[in-house]
Amino acid sequence: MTWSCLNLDRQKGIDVLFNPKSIAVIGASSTKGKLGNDVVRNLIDSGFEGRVYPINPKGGEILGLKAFRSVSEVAGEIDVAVIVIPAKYVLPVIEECGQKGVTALVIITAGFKEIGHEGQEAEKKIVEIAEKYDMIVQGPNCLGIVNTFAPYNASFAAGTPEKGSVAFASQSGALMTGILDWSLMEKIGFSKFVSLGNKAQLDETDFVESFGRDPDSNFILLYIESVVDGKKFMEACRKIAPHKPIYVVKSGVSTAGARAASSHTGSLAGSDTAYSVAFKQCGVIRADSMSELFDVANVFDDCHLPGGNRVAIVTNAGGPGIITTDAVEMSGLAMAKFSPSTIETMKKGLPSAASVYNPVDALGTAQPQDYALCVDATLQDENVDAVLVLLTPQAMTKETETAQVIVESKKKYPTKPLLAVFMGGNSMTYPRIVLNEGGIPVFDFPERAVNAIAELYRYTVVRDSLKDETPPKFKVDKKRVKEIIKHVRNDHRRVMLGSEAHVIAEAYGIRVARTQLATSAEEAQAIAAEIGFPVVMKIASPDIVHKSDIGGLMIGLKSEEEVKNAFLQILDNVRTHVPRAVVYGVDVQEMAMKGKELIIGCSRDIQFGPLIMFGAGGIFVNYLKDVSFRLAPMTRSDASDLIAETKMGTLLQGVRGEEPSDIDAIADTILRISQLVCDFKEIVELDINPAFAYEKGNGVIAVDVKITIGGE
Amino acid sequence: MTKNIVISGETMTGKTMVALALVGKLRKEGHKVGYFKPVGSKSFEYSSEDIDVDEDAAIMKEVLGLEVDVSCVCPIIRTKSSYDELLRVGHDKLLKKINECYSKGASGMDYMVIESAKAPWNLLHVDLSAPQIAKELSASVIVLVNFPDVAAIDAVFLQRDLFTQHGISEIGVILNMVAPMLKKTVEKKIKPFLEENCMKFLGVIYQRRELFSPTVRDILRALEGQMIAGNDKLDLLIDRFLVGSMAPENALKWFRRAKDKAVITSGDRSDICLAALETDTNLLILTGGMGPDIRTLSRAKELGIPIMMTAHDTYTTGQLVDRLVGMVSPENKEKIAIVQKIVGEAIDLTGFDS
Repeated sequence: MTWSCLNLDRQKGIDVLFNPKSIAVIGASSTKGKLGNDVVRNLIDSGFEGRVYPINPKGGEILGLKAFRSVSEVAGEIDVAVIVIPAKYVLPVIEECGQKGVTALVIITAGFKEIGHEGQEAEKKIVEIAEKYDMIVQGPNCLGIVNTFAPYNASFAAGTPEKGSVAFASQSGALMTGILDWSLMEKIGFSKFVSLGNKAQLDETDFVESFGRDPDSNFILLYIESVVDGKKFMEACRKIAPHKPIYVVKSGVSTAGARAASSHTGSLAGSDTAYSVAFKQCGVIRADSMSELFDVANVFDDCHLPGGNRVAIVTNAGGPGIITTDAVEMSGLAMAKFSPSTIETMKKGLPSAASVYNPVDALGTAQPQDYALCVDATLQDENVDAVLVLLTPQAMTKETETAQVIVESKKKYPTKPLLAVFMGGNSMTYPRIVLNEGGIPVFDFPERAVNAIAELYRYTVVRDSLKDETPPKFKVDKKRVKEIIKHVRNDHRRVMLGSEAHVIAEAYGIRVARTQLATSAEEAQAIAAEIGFPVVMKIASPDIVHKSDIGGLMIGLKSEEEVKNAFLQILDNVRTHVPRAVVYGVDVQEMAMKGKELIIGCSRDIQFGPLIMFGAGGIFVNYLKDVSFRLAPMTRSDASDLIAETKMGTLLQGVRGEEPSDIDAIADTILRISQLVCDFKEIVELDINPAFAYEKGNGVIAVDVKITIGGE
Repeated sequence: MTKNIVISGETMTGKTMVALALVGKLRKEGHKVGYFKPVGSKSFEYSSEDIDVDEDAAIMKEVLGLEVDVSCVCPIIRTKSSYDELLRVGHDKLLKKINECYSKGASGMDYMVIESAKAPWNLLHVDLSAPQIAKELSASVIVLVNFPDVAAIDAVFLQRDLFTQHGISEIGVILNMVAPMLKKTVEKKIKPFLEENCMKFLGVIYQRRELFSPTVRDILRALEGQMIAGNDKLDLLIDRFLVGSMAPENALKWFRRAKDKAVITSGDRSDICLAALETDTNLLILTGGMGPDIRTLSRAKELGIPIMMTAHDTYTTGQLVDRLVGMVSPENKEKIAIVQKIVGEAIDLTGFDS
């Protein structure tokens, strides 16, 4: 079975999962407080119009519905089976569901992968049986599933979310219950609400794909701790991101957080850098926190996307206006410059002490009609992309009435994002309800509101920057690389010698400082004479990483005599400092003219594949930390963006009267490395450090190339 | 007639290893091959109250399935109780014993592989040094020399002279523990040089960690550890040890550099444990008595990677395992197979074995 065919089946299955005509709840219970009772109750309360079959070995009646002893007893078809029985009974029930012809399983039951090896084996078995019968599996160890458009709620959450445009999938079920409760208060509507659980079969990518196809979902939110298949996830998101925003919170950013995530999920998460880069490259916006994620959802659910980054602020207090202005500038948004007619309208209507330039300060005395005037005027202005209305409770402020006029403005100009920040406590409770009911997202403090618009704007920028560009294909010598990898394997090594790594780089058209391995002093002299003096000599041993630290590197050797002495000296140093290192000889290398020191590297990420690094090279790489990343395969735009992101990128353009460096050649080198690591999955680590970049037209030269290959 | 081959070399040159490989190689060719070690030393682990036993003899008896009594696989055991312990017995009696046991072991054999004592000159004081025994048994000699650098050439000549002085004419040479950088020199220059000097060049064994790698069992013993998973993997060889205490983002990079390794870390470093499990690790050693978390354990079981727990701290653990040299032992079939393969392939007896 091919992957695409399997995927097609899954999507068909998910369609049924979201819109079933009949649902069996296996483990349904008449006892209040049991999960099997909650699920049946939620199904009934959510207004599900299809058939519900409670399954319980005791039979009888559950919440007014006839209960069946087993799925085979049910006469009609069953589209979805929700399983809430103890883990040890699950496997036979799945077999039974398969025989019955069930399409989708929602396994709420916990006690699988998360409890250890036996659980994991059982979980594998679940998938095996399910796939034998072409069933899809959500969970196990999940909260359930909600589709507000079906409508149906097959979860044990306390309540059903409101109908809306946001599709949400979460790796944490507990988090969902919190979000659901909060969304009911904030009036955020959801289209789909999915708990991923252990992701035994269906994973985030399957649901993102389905959300992408779903006409009821316009906004996709994810909470994940890891993705199952990075490449597949990126492909799916890349297709959807141009049409619908996808926002993700991925936890495990900090070292301790990553450790917590790996012990929570039992799988090694790819590096957090790889996640960030992957999201960036496939148009997914990464939110830094849950509050940010839902602020954005809240604003999107009520508003359209901003057409640009120009924000108008209307306030009745100077201080908050300035604070908000700072926030706007710092978040990458801009303060709008009003058109003359807007200024004129406000000048006429407001007291002369008011400020009619952005931020608009209607003064502490501002009445509802003043707000109406300013909000209408700014919403109309074509130089404004979003309006932020601030209100503080002052002596003459009419909070509720002001809220009402803002709602009226929104009705008049529904397409431009309009957000409210009502700063205060008790006095703001009712006005906030008015705003929420009127479809206006409202915040306590300005920063979160600004951040929400900024994030939505960021999506529009990312969306517009997604290009359909194919990675370049260079003519290369694959055969040579294959030979060397084979040779290193036969020698039972993982780490290549410098001379081998250099040949590989050369086979991919990368200019390298010529290097040859010498196994005796005379050989070293002969090689040096052929390369031409001066030369560099370095120890060739897969056991030695930092050659210069142990006297394994000597540069600027100008004569045969010096070469001979260096050969003996290097071996002697190694024997003293690393006596157990296996030594293959000493590399003799052409001494390249010094240029701008760069690092170009690659580390194969567990989830996302080759992660290419570029930045300032040399021995201080780890201290300067001037590096940036992209996932391979890379396009030309990726390469130039990658270079431009670093401080080194700025230096390369030529500063303080220096000539610009050969940035095209650098980009070429990066792209060739990208092609190399995509062609050869065996290469798990690669570092060129340093590479010297010369003036425009003079190219780049790789001085030290290190390659590690992985197991077969 | 039985062809006798004496393997001579200084201590820790891998004589037993070569003997094991040689027996394996010749047996594979369909010959009947025995093993004999005329002179050994007392092993307290293998000896009993009534009988002194040499460790190599005990191991080889079992590994090679020898029918002869262990006391006859190695008839003369030096206990070093006094300088004259052997003088008091006397040359003739000792030689008689050697000849008797040799005859038992060699009966019906095509070849006898004879391992010399710790050094070729041992027992010269009773005229039973390796060359003298070789002469007595009309054996050919394989001289084994560790060759970490070119200066070791003199050790080869020292042995040659020792044997030729005692009238042995057929001398073969195997160079062991040769640094890979000497490959060209050995093949192009040293080999012809030795042949010009009346020695037959039989092979070269390059530095290979596997030959001296300890097994999980060896490590378990050294650390007084406890297996948490993979009790059936005690024979796995550990090529190298890495301590996992780095930031998780660097762990993969380091772990990828080595294969067949053991990673030493603490049980609460699940990030390090998982990174180790993903990168050709043969053993996870958890220090400080801290066990793995349940998901690490389940991943290890899924991948079939053993986990060992020890009460020692990471530093002590590192020290204890650092000098651990894996010996061939009868229970360790995998190690035997590796030795027979690597060493067997390195040796070419053509023109020497007839």
